[in-house]
Amino acid sequence: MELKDETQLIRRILGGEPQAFSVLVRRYQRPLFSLVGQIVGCREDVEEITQDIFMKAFTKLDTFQGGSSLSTWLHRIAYNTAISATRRKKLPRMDFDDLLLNNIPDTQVDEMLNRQEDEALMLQVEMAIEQLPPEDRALLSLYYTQQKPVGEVAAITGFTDANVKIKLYRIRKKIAFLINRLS
Amino acid sequence: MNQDNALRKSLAARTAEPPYGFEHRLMGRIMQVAQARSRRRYLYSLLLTALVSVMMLAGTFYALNHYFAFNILHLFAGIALPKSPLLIYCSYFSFLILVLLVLDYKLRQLNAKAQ
Repeated sequence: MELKDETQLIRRILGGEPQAFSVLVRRYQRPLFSLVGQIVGCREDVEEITQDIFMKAFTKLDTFQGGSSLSTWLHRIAYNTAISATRRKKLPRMDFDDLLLNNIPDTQVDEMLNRQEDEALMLQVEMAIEQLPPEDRALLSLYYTQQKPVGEVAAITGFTDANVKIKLYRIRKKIAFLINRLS
Repeated sequence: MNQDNALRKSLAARTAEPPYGFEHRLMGRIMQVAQARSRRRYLYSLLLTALVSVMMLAGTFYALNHYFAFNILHLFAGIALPKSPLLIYCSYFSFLILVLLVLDYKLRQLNAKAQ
């Protein structure tokens, strides 16, 4: 139903009814804003980047083939634009030692990331997320906040399904490593 | 992996919401781009129409001259414009009407924009 509705909307916009784009803005502004917010971090830049994403989507709407859903297409634009914006800023990146990450047992990671009633730990998790590379924060946002399946996360980010699963597994270890270091 | 409640809660705490008036500001930019695009399209179609008209006229002249041995320019050469001062008045009023029509078009555009 939504797919048919969106196809009609796209047809209306391309047919010279740009005000119909506001329906798409209303539908996708929250998830895109949330994704860009997680990737960029800086609140001042989030609005500007999200506006640029919608502008790109509007000007390139005629190139949308319908091979994926409109949501995936928009999220892909958002992911690429936000990641490019962080690369332009050339922020320092933290490198993680594979050996150190492998030494953290899975049970410890599971236990750490499920203790939601511990306020101090929650704060540490937030600080750890802050220190992750933008690509990792994007994966977390897509998988955990927006609850997208691995296949869709892969379509948005351009990784393979297996790669997304491995990356998510490693991100959890990175967070556990950073929490250990913080405490 | 799907549980990770602490992680989910921390991510939710970091989630940014669109600020007040975001949609309005964005749609303002979108409408500007759309207007510029439609203006560009109109200009292109106008240019294309003019080009096709010129080509058709040139084709007609060429066909008449080449295939029918009929030089239409001789027809125009035979027309003598009246030398009476009435021609100046006619030209003046035609020019005035043209100016008024352009003014009317521009004012209508301004009015539409204001509304």
